[in-house]
Amino acid sequence: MKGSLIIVGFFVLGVLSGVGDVFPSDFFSANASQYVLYVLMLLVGLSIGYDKELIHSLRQTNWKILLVPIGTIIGTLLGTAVVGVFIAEWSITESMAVGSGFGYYSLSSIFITKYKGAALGTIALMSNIMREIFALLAAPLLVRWFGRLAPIAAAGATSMDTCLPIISQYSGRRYVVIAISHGIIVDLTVPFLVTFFCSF
Amino acid sequence: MLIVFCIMVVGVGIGIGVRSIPHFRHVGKWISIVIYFLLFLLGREVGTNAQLLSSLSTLGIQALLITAGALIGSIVCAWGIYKFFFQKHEG
Repeated sequence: MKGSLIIVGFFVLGVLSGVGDVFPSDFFSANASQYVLYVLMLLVGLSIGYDKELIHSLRQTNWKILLVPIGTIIGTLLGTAVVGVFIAEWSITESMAVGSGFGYYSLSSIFITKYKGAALGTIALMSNIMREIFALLAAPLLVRWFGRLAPIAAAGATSMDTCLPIISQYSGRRYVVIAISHGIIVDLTVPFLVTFFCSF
Repeated sequence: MLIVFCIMVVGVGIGIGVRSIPHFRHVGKWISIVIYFLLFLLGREVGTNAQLLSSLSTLGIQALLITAGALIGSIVCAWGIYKFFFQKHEG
C-alpha cells in the first residue's frame, strides 16, 4: 500500500508541476524519455537474469500450479477484450494492453504512455491501481464466493508482494507458494504482453 | 517495438553474467527510481495538457470498466481451476 501511495504521489506531483507551470516546457524532451525507457528495459531484463532464485523457483513449479497464472492471463485478456468492444474511444487491443498490466501499474503505464499517449497511460495507471486495491479489500469475500484461488487471480502480478499477506490470511498458508509463483510468472509477462498489444 | 524486446533480452543476458557481482542486488531500487521519474513526467504531461486534465473523470470511468473486465475474467477462470483441480484434493 505504501508503494502505491508513493507512485500516486509522484504522478500527482507531476500533474501539479504541469498545472503550475513549474518547469520550462523543454525541461525534459520526449526524445530523452525514450532513452530513459530503454535504460528501464535494460534494468528490468537485468533484474530477471540476475535473480537465481527466480529461475530456480520457476523450475520447481508443477503443472497444476502453472494453471493458475495461465488462468489469470487468459481471463484478464478475455475480460478486457470484451470491455474493449464497448468503449468507443479505445480499440480492443488497447483495452487488452491496459489489462496486461495485471496490477503492475508503474511499468505498464509507462510503456503505454510511450506507445499510446498519456491518455491511455493514465487509464493504465488508474486501472491497475484499482485492481490492486480491489484485491486487497475484497480478498475475504472472493474466497467465500469463488474459492481460494480467486484473490490470487485478482491480485495479478501483485500476488507475490503487496497482496501476499492478505492472500496468506484468507486463502490459507498452503496457497502462499502458489501466490508467489503466480506473481512471478504474471509479472514476467507484463513487459512482453503490454508491448505486444501496443504494437497494433 | 522490436528494439525494446532486444534491449530486455540483452539485459537478461547481462544479468546472468553479473550474478557474482553483489552490487547488482540493488537493481530493483534503481528500477523504482527510474519508474518514479517517468511517472512524474507522465503526471506533468497530463498537467500541461488542458484537454487531458478536463477528461480525467472520463478516463477514470474507462479505467474502472477495463478493471472490471479484467477482474471478472480472471476470477471466473480462477474459480473454474479451483473447482476442477484444487478443491477435490483438499481434506
